[in-house]
Amino acid sequence: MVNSVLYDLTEDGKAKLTLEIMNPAAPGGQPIIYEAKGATFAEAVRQEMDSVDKNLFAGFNRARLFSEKLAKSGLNPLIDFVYRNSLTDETPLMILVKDEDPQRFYLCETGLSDMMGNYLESLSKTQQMTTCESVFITTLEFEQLYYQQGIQPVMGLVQIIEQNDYSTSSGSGSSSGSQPSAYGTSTQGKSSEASSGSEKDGASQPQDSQKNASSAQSGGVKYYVFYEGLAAFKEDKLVGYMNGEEARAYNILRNQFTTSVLPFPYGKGYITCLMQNAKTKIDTKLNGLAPEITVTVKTHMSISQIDDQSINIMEKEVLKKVEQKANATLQDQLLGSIQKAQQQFESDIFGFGIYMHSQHPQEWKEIKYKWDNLFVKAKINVKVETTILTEGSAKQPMGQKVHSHEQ
Amino acid sequence: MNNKNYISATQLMLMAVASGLMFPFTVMPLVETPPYNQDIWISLLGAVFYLIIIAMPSLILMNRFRGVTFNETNELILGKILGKLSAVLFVLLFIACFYLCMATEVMFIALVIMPKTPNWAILVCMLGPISYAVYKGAGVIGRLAVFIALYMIFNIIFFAIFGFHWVDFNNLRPVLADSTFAQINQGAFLTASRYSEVLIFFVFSYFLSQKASINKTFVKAIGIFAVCFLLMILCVLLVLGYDIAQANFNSYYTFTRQISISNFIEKIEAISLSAWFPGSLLKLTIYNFMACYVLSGIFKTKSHHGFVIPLSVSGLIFCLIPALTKTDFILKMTSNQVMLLMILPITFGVPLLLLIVYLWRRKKIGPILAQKKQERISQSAESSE
Repeated sequence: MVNSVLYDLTEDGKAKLTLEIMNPAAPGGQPIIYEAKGATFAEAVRQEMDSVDKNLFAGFNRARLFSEKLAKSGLNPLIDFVYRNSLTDETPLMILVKDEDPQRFYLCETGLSDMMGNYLESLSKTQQMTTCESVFITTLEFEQLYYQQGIQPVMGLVQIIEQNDYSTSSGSGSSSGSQPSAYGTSTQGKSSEASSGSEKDGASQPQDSQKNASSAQSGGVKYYVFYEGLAAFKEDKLVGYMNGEEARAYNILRNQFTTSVLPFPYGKGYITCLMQNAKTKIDTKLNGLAPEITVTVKTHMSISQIDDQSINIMEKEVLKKVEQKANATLQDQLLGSIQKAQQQFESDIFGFGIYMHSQHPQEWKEIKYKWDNLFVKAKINVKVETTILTEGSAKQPMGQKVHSHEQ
Repeated sequence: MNNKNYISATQLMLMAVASGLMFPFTVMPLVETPPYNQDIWISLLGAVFYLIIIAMPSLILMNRFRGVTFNETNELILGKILGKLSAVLFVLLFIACFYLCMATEVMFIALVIMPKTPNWAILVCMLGPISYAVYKGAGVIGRLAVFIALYMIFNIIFFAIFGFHWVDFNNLRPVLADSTFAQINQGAFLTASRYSEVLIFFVFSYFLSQKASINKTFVKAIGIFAVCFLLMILCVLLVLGYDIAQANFNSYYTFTRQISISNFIEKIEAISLSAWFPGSLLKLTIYNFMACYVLSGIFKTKSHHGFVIPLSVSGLIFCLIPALTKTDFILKMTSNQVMLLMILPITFGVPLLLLIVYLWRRKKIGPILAQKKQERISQSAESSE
């Protein structure tokens, strides 16, 4: 049973396939990794059988991973193979591995899961309920985005984090319990190699954060998966990456948002809000051949953390100012993400074209083949309306209380 | 006719429903019809209107010639030679449907479900039960239809309920904006023109118990067929979207492949296949029986039994000819254009001609028809004693 597959290209442009196969006989469910090469992926699958002594069953495959090299060269032949083959189906996640050596993916820690495919599937269920700073796109969804007019496809993004000084960290007395906190820091950081100038003050690089992780493994290097952001495509070719913050903007604009935290500077520190229930309305206009897109986002938030203890959130004026600041922060993030898609990718990954189609069906017939060019020049207006519903379970900043007692 | 060969109205209705649903179950031809976009489900609603119009001449004839066999009806209206010729046209359609449906189903099994199994083995496994059921006659086919058709309907509802999690209503947008009335009308007509199941009523109405109303049974069958078909096409459009559905050989099967229950019970497309395969066998059984039965009427043999094995073997041979079982050939033969030319002249053209001739010769046919009906009533009274 295949649990995940990594599709790559060799240096001479041939298809390279790495399969993660479940091994029921192995203690702890340790999988077997097989590699095969061929002129095409269809041939590589057959070549795999030169080494595998059982028939392959891909019905429970959880993830299809792609190397950057393959994604840049175009996924069309591979989509065709997946479509035609009776062994492959449309349920596995589509994920891009952004690493010089994507094979290292199978050396990564699998968390509480036994195999990488299962690990990624578990991640797709838990991460979307906590950060919403990544995308989990199935093969069917990718095909839909690829086929549909007025939208371009995206897929999940994985980076491999190398930790080679864990022996020092384990020696420094940090317990194994610190590992999750390291993940937490890296996720909060929102900055990665994929980030493009949207790092926040105080956010650490994933590599740095992982230095806090401890491990019982002896010798060698330890690898972790960092699942954040998204890989943007134009037709079947990779055109760029978005970081976690931008991926969250993508989820909001696609109305796929669940929940996330939004920290923004206020007073002497940060205020962190828990965003919930973001609803996005997109209105399109067409002035001649100049599209104008107006995005209205309505979101509910609650205060998660206030750094500056002098801020009394119970005051109406303060609350209004916080709402305005949250609006401005989110508005900047959304606008920045859209502009990145317009200017860097020249690819309408947000699907504004779909709205243009449904709102102006007659005009769409004339512009649908020019939409990619029109999207780049489109005027974008973003409006965010935030309502802070609750202020958490604290009535006033906890530090303020302590301070008043001291006085 | 033996008493045990009587079929009830429910059995006849379910035979037509199961047979009619096999096309959407296997190739979903609606995605290949105008308006070629997300509005195709609307053209299905229009198809119901055309279905009734197409079936009208056959329904009038069935009601007028109630208790008279299919061959006798043809011969009474057109005379012996022309009546036989007209029956031959129907037989040719039944045989063509039998061959093409079998080839399509074998191709689907060989491509998607069991690629390593040789075609001859699949065919033998199919033709065994088909031949046996045809040999046993209309009563057995009617009883089989009750189990199989109900299971198929249950399957469609089951997948519609559990597929709701994957539904995206945006896939239907914009509604009616990309299509013209003419395109939807054309789609409705093409969809209706593929429906050859009205002939099941024409042939099997002879076996229908006298108390049952043919018109009511037909309307019920069309209603259930349309609702099930609508559910299927909506599931496909809402989950896959039109573009993916059109690119797929069997879009309904692809839809079922996406469904899991609570992320725990996976690969439940097997449940859909467990309805699809018996449904395929039932459809093939019905068409095989109709061909054998009408052939037996043409050659005035005692029963249809002598035609069962030769027809099944000829089907086996047809489906093993490589040139005739190529995917592109089968897709072309089952396309709307070919189906329209093949089915509509027989389901609408010939019955209309028969009706016109009947109305023209009504005074001459009337007494003979009354005599035939009287003979049939006395025969059935004797056999019941």
